[in-house]
Amino acid sequence: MNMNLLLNLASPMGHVIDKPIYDQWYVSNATVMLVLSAIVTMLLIIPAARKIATGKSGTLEDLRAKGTLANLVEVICLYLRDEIFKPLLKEDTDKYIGILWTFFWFILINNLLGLVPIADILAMLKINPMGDHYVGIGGTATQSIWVTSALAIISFIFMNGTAMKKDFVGFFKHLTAGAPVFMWPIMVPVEIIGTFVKPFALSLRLFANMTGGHIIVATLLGFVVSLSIGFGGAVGHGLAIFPLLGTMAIYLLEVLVSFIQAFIFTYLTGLFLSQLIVHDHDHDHDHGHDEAGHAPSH
Amino acid sequence: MSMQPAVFNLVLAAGDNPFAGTIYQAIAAAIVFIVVLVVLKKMAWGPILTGLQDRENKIKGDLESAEKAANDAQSTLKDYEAKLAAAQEEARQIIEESRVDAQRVAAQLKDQTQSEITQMKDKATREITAAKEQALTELYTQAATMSTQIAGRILKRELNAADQQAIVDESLAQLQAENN
Repeated sequence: MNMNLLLNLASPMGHVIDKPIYDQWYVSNATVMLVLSAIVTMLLIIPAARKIATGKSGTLEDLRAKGTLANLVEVICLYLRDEIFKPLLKEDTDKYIGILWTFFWFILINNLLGLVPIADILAMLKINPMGDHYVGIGGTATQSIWVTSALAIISFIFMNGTAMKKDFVGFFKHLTAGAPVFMWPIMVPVEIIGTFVKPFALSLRLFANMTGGHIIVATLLGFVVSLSIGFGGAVGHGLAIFPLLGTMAIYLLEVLVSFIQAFIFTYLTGLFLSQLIVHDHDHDHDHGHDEAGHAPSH
Repeated sequence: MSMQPAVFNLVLAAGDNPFAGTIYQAIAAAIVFIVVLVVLKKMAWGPILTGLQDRENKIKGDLESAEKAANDAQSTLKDYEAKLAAAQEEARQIIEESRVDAQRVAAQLKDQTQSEITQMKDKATREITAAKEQALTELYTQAATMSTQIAGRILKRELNAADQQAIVDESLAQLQAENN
């Protein structure tokens, strides 16, 4: 039995948080999973892209996405581009959609891979690549605040860099939020704070959602093990069914959360970018500093 | 106590810090993300975007040509409808003309027939009159001859042929004068 796997830990947190390999933080579960996710993402997207790309046969078949995988990738990419970002970024959509797609797919694959109990599967198969089955592989890279912060900083640089490149003066004019001059002492600091709060909220939202969900799953699984062993026999196993069902429910919820969080991170990046670069909206309203307020909070 | 499940201990023990990690994890994340971004941009997003744009352009082009074709069809239809209307008008005129012609011809024929009938009637009348006159003349001649003979017998005297002829002629002239 591999139940002792979970019992090895002092608390569910131990099953969830990142750990250094051989006590060195140069490499940890998070970094291993990041690389793994990168490989999976590329293996998913690149073959699909070949089949979505225009063919060369000169027939109508050239314009069709061929195969299940290509259609899966295409339907999501197309939805993000046409339904989500086109209304925000207008004619600039295709210019920035690449990085937005990358955010979505990369975060999604990271989130989903985190739901695969890789360490536990390897332990059951008695494969122990790192010598200790709780270290080195498994877990979610996106539940590390360091990883989500890095992604949020990239998002921050992308949003503000793009806006500055597009309209340098306009970017700084934006900080006044179109308010009269006597309001500037209030508006400008608020806008500047808003600029930095946005990526902070992005990183914290993703981190907290992924960590929270995994802790619940680990806790409920811990109950399964505790009840089974604590009471033992038919009573213990019978009682353990309830937290097991709960685990399954939360696990499925986590699959949904994986998609939602990947989407929200990407969507908010696109939304913030659009507020910085698309100027066809009413300048009197206070865009920019209340995003964290009306952002979908999950 | 072995009954005490380890998971109940939710107090964060050392090493259970949810913010575990160092700047190395952030650097790794940034590098990995940028690598993924660059690779995908080159190998995936470009082709996908081109594919989607090609398809959009194709659909747009097809829609435009379909609209043009529909417009063309509409104008062609209008042309044909106009031609059809003209043809119908022409046909109507032809029928009208034919009807008028037919009426004219019928009237002509009727007049002609009428005049032929009138001529035939006149001719018949003339022939009948002639025949009647001839018959009357013969009748008078016969009657006169017979009357003379009867008169001669009555007078017991034989009239000679010249006398008889003179009496007949005289009677005839008298009859005709009366008749007229």
